[in-house]
Amino acid sequence: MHQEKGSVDRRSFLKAAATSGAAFVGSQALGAQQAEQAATAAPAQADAPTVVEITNDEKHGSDFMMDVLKPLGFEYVTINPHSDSGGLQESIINYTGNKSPELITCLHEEVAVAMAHGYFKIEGKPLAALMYSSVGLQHASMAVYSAFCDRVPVYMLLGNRVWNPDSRSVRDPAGLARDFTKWDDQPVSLEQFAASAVRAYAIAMTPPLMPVAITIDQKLQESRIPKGTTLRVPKYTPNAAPEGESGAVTEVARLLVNAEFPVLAVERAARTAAGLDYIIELAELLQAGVVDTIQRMNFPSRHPLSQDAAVLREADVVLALEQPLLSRSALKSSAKLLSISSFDLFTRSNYWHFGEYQEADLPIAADAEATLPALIEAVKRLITPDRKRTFEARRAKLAEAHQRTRERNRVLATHGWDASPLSTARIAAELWEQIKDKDWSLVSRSDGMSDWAWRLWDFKKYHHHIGQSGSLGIGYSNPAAVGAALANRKYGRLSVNLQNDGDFMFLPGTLWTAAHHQIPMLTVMHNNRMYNQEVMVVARIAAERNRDVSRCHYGNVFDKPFINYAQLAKSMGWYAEGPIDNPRELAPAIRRALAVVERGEPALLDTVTQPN
Amino acid sequence: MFVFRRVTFVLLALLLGLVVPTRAQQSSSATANLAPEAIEKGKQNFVTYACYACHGYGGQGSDVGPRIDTTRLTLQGFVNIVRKPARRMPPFRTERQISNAALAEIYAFLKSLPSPPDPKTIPLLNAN
Repeated sequence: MHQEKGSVDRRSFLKAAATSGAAFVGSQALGAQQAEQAATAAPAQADAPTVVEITNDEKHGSDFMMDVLKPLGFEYVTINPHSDSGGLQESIINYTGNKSPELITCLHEEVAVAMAHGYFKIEGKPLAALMYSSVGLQHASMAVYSAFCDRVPVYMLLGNRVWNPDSRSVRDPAGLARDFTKWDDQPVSLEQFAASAVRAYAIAMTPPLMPVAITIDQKLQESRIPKGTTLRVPKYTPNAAPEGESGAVTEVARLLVNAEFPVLAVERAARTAAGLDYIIELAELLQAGVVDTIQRMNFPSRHPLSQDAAVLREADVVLALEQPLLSRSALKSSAKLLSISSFDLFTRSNYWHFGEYQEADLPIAADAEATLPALIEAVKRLITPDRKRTFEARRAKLAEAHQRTRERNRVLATHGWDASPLSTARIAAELWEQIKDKDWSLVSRSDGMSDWAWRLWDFKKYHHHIGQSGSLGIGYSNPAAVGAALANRKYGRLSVNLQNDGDFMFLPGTLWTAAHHQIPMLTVMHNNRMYNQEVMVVARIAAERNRDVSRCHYGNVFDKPFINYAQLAKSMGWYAEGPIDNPRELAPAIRRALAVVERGEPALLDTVTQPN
Repeated sequence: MFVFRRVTFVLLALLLGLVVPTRAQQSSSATANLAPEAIEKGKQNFVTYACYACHGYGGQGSDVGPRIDTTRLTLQGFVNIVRKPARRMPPFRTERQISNAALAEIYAFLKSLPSPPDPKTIPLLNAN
């Protein structure tokens, strides 16, 4: 039933926001320990006024929507505008003054969602993305899928006409993305909106973290709320994240402490900087090797316990932390596979992102980061002086292996050092030389350019890397990098984006958003002028079929004409140089571009590179 | 099935100047012995047959293909590996896919490449 109610009085709202909203800002999915601290630190939440009186006839439904959304702490709302959410857009601008949240103008809905994806991976809290429910969500859908696979919450607001549909309206708009969202609702009253909006936030932020969608009805937004109406803004308190059952956690600790050669396999284990610290502490307590798929900044790249994946074959006990796809086939047959992951707590069945069933000997369905403090304590209790001596010997062996890998990488980097097109190792090394003493952040995938950034740079802080993409969908990197750079901006960090050219051309309009909103970042193009992965695939298939391999470039190469990325970037307000194919020109170009970024603007270097 | 013809390759090797297939041949003086046309053709073949996609334009290797710019294989060994690769490399089994002559040119190209510098001589690779 549609109930139009009155608007929220601004004074009442401000009182509510002052006493309750601030406490919510920046809150993340919490473990029990963290939740306890939060409750102690913010007792005002319990007394937060949740009922507001409407005292005039000047308020509209979308104003009340902002009364609900603002305390949730969204710093920005990414938007591709459209008529069915004009009411909320106007309320953001004039009712809440376009501050917290501030609108970020995007030229495509996929940009709006992917920016939110990248932003979360730095800031640890979601952005709202406002888009049209029909064609807008269709545009955004791949980015939503990437966030889902990457277990990143994005808070989508979908404009629709529920009460007065027209030819562009949708009966069940979120249905399009339901295979890769965690929860959605289409409220038909302001009371229902309030409850669903807060519930959606809570669900998105409870591990496993994922995107959610709330449809906002056009009429509900634009109608006046009658004077005398009383509305309620529900209190939001973060859910405690699911922790592993204590008996099972103790057993994991026992197996790890008694193992001869335990290895930690980490994927999306560190949700926050605290998670990174926990993993370091656990690894050092056990002197266990750590194998990282680098989907998050889980473990320092130069830590002596950081190991190649080959070490998994030597392990007698492997603890997979939020790595639900680690296969037994990667381990020796006698190894015990332990797993702590929230993956099984929520999944969908249509897309095969869930992979094959993991045959773990001791699986714990829980959030790894929330479980690690208890696991660390259990390990500490079980370590004897005798075991400690064994651990120290293990550390020496692992440290040697780590050093050998570093040495090997140094030698490999020399191959093609002076080549043109540019060696990707050379690009990574030249960049590192100029950023290493700054507060830098790699806001792109590190698995492009033959992993050279990861192999050569000293990744150790949580914001040093946002991890990979989740879905491997092309088109993620450019807008996700801009979103992460947006989050980094207020900390004064130097955001560096190693940008694949194929990915770049899916959403080049992303550049305009970065320039318009003055988001400083350095983008360095991995301009190999092709979808190289696909060149390799077609070459392999042709070879296996005894056919003409020389035709594998058809459909995979975009070199005629060469795309001039520097010109493209300049046309949208960026500082840009290139194409650069002489390695000697690289260092000076980086220096000039960094000077631009440091004065608060985005800069792009079009570097013509080797394929990988 | 491919049958390696030693006589053919000896002739090809002589034609291309591939007479000393050792590491020492990578020095500039040895490179000078290789027929420049063969090297140039080999460089083109390296692109045409998509070798570069995994190994890089200069054979320097990548995360998906090993470095081959400093190969110690003989021409015959090189051809054997291309025809019947051991690992992930796609098999170019027959001359229908790539001729022995084209392979010999690629080999000449690889042998013409200079040795990579010693990492100790590159300051960027010795910084923290």
